[in-house]
Amino acid sequence: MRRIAALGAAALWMAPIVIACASSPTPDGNTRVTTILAPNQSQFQQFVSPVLERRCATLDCHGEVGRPLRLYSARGLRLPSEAGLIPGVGATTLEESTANYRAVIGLEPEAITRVVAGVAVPRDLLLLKKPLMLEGHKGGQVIASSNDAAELCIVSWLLADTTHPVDQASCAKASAPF
Amino acid sequence: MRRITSGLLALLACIAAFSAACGDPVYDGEIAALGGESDGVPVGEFHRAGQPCVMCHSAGGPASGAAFSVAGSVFARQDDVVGVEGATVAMTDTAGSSYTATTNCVGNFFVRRSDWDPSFPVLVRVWKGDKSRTMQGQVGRERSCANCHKDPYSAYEKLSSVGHVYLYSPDDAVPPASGSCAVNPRVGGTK
Repeated sequence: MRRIAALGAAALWMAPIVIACASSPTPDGNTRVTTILAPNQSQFQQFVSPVLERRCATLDCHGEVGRPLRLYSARGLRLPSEAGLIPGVGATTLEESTANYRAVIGLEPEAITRVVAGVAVPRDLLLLKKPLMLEGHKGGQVIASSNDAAELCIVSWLLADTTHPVDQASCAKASAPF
Repeated sequence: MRRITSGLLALLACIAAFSAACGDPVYDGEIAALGGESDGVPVGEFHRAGQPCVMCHSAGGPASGAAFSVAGSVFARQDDVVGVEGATVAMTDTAGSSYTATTNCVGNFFVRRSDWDPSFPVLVRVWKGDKSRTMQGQVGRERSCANCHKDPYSAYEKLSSVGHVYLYSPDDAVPPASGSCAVNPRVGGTK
């Protein structure tokens, strides 16, 4: 019994050290800086955002104000605008697709950095794990397990460079209206 | 050892008492926000037209005895919240399974979970005679149409609401509401 108490005391003593290591400041002061490598924004807005708007941004899913990964779209949640746009009116605005981009990057900035840097794969991201149901997703599986145009589009955007452009055909297919 | 056991039992008893005392504050708040029944409309297939049916008609809800998988209301026009009787609501789920329901005289339709339990997303089309409306997007996971198809009360709500489901355009001739309906088919109306 005394040994258990001693172990408990040791654990309590160690905890602050572990916490301190995890949140240690940078050498130049107290500011923590994380370098984020993000995939291309304009390509996202042009090709990927329409896919997410079509598959994920309905008002009962990520087009709901209280949800993580909040997504705006012409048919779903709208950003306040001078034009007074409401769901179903007009097209998705530049401000809305910009907000979508920030939501996607902000979901897991470090993880997306690893994918862009080539030290992780796209399916490591919640952005794909959730809709593929590789991880719990309240909205169920919204991307098929293999060869779904939506995944091909998103992956091509994440890994795009000068020699591997975004798969525009898959993006168009995955965002086509019903 | 006896002290540890009795302490553990006391802790478990506290947790059990706490759990029993607390419901789900989010769910309970949503149910309370629906308010009471309308005067002159008994609880049944005609009640609460335009409200999110499945909130109560679901497992664990106050109407769990009649659990629905999908339910909603179809009204005549955007500016006329009177139920459309005999409209067909056709739904197709992501597995390709389809189901059709028909609205009653206040515009309500419901699908019992035991009859059809779709795999979301679901596509929806509503029609009566030669008038038809197809939902432009898919239903992601919401089982109550009225959770999204609600009439906004504020400028802020207008950003996230598509208003009630309606079948007819302003130029369409709307068939007269059912005169034989047991209740007033107009939301907020009295018999």
